[in-house]
Amino acid sequence: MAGAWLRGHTVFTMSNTALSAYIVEDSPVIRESLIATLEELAPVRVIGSAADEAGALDWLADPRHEAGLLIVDLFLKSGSGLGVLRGAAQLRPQLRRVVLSNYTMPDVRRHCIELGAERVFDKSSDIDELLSYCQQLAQPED
Amino acid sequence: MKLRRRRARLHQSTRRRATARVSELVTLTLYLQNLHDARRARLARTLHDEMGALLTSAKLDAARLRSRLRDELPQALDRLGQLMHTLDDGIALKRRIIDELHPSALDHLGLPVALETLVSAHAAHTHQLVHLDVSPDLHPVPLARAAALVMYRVAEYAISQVVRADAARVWLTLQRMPGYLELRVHDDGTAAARRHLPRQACALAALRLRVQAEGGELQVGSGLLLARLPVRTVAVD
Repeated sequence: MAGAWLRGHTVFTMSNTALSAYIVEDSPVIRESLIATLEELAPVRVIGSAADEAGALDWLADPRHEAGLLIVDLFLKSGSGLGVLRGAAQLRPQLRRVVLSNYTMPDVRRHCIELGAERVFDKSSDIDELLSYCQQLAQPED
Repeated sequence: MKLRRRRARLHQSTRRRATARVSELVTLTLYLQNLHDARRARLARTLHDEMGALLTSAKLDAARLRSRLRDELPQALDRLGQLMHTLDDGIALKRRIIDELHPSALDHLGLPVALETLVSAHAAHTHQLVHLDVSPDLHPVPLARAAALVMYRVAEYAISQVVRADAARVWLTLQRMPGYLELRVHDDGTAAARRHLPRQACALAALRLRVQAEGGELQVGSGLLLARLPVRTVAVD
């Protein structure tokens, strides 16, 4: 049904190829548009989210939770995205982790990479890069 | 004899009152500065959280819209591109205002990152080359939040002075010394340009009070500024 107004637009069916992502973002407004954007424009299925460091680490610590990608904002309601990266490196060294933030100065980037982030995307200018990164991750053969 | 004793007593009590008054004024100054900082921080936080979220969300929605327009209304893509540019400008403006109000990076990402933000904003607006050198053992910086903000304000003041001193190069060094953290700012400005500098006596006095309130010291010379703050032995945050 939803396909009716998506006419002419690439619709990603959420099959096995969809990349499951967990989002750490404290703003409900951004979370909502981010999830919609990712799911609409990339083969991504957002399986959950947290608004702070503690919530994210709790989720990651539970071995029943599975995800293919962790997207982390740096400024959070409490704690910080750096803390999430630090914890994720311990809890899930295999999980691919990226940062999506308004703060992407060189020093911040370096920090994030040191803490195990694969990429650092700027919230306003790197959305397209994030989308194509997700695409790559979901369909590596492309 | 009696008169002399009375005069001595009077002198003593006048001095006591003066000392009490000065310390009252110092307290008042610090209180007002903290209040001012807290208000700016709150305003910056609102701008970041609310305004920032709205703009970012609009940007994301525009990205979704663009993907539809490409297939269905390609002639509208230019207008949408314009809209996205406008949003980018809005986002950049918001960032500038926030950074001028309060170094949000300081609270979330620490002093070295906040200094980097300050320096790169400065370099973007002037022709001056700024070298920032933070020793690698300063992650995290062993300062409490209030002290880190004071250190940041010192750097901000130093940079504002450098702009006026007609310098081409500025060096900012943050390093750990035994027992304290030192910020050293020097520039290659000319003595002639410096002579015409407005003294900014109030700003400097206020800054010195803040540094002293944190148990540190501030030295200002020609083309050189030194601030030292005692390190906190237990690093939290």
